[in-house]
Amino acid sequence: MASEASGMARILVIDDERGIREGCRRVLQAEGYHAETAENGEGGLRAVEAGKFDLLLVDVKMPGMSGIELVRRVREVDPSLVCVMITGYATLETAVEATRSGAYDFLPKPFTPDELLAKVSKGLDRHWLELEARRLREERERNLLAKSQFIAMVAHELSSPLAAIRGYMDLLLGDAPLEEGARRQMMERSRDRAASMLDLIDDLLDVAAIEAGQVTRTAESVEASALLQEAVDLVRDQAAADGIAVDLERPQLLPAVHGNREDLLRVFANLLSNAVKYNRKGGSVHVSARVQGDQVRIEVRDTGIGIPAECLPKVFDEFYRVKRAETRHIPGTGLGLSIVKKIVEAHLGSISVDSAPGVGSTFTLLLPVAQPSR
Amino acid sequence: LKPRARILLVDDDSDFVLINRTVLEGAGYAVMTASSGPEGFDAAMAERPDLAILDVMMEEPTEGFDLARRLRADPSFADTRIILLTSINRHFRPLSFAPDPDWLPVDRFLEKPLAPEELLRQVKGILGAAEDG
Repeated sequence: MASEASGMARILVIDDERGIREGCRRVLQAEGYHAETAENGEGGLRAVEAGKFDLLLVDVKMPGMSGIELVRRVREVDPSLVCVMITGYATLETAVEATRSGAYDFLPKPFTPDELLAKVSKGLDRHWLELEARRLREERERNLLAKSQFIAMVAHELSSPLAAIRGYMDLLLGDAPLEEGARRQMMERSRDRAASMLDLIDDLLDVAAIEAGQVTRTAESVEASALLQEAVDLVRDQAAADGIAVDLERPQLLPAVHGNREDLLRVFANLLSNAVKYNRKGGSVHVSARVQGDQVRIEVRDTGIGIPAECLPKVFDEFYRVKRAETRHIPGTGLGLSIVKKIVEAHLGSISVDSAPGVGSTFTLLLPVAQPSR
Repeated sequence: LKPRARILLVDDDSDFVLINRTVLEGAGYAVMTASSGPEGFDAAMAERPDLAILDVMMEEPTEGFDLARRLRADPSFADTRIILLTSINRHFRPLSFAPDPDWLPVDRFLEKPLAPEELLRQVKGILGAAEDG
């Protein structure tokens, strides 16, 4: 009888008849199962509470707690536990009552080792199915919860700018007189909040696209070196405005990486833009790339405000922003790094961050080298 | 002539500070502002406002609650009225929050955004009650 998977299964035999108890144990152990025994219902219940079993073989008729009562109580605790009843006199009434209390199958006495093993094997299949169904159910519940939390956060993030714009409109359209400077400031702020909301919607659409699995749709060999230069050029003006020097260090020959050009440019540009945004005036951004094993290692190091150690584990979370006096006026959707991480992981790469508050942060990216086509 | 009532606004969203300050100053109140709980407490100590209007979620998700409790724990602020402003109530149905002497010791718990006339109506109601009492 095939029993490769049986080694891990734990079976408890509960029978007041020593011969049956020990006989079952011998047969089950010889087959590679872990088998334990109990001689009455109370002992069986204690054993079930103490150890994790996958299947119970239960004598229907025992002095004290009956097998049927035991099954009822055991299944209240763990409905995935499969119980096979050992019966000497399988009347219809007993069968109905046992099934009602949660028994899965019957093994009439006397039985051969093969009959025992067949019932056990069938019962265990049922048990694994039930565990798998439970795991899927729990996963689904977790996903639904995460989704509703995400929607609550999106709603909050979308309503703040609209509430601010509405507040400004109430004032601009109201009867109370406003100075021209104040009117203008309110209109400018409304425009800025509308712009930040459009950025957020862009990012949300990206999140949706990535989660729909579109990120690796057109994977190819991408020259990381040229792409990094492109990203550096994109932030050059923004950096110059704050007197921040950006330099790029890379070997003469850097192998291509495997991925989608547009998505990788987005990753590089986002990391570089953060390095500039969260920098100090007159600071610097150092970008380096080199080969490490079969990966390309890219580092983006800034001399910015840094990230407190307790915030580091959360910086890739959706809508997480380190809130401090220095960051309050820096615009951001709170989605940028979560998008970066999703893209990098879809490319089978990894990203990590190291930071010292007041000194700066370093984001390290590992991306797989493109395999030469043959 | 009665001295102008003094109101402290605490919110980390500078737009709401500007909007509410404009509304309140337009109605003749003296307004001071702070953008965090700790700053708000210092401002309250220095300025002794008649009313503090606090945002709940600032750098910490319960910063406004914390500041309200801190003010209430100090007997010298016994006459200071407190309004908490939040946008969370609508998102946590069927849970809702209401002022409570023990865990939410404030005079009003209101939802953002507040239309100008509604803000003024609430402020007038609270400060009027304070003057009568």
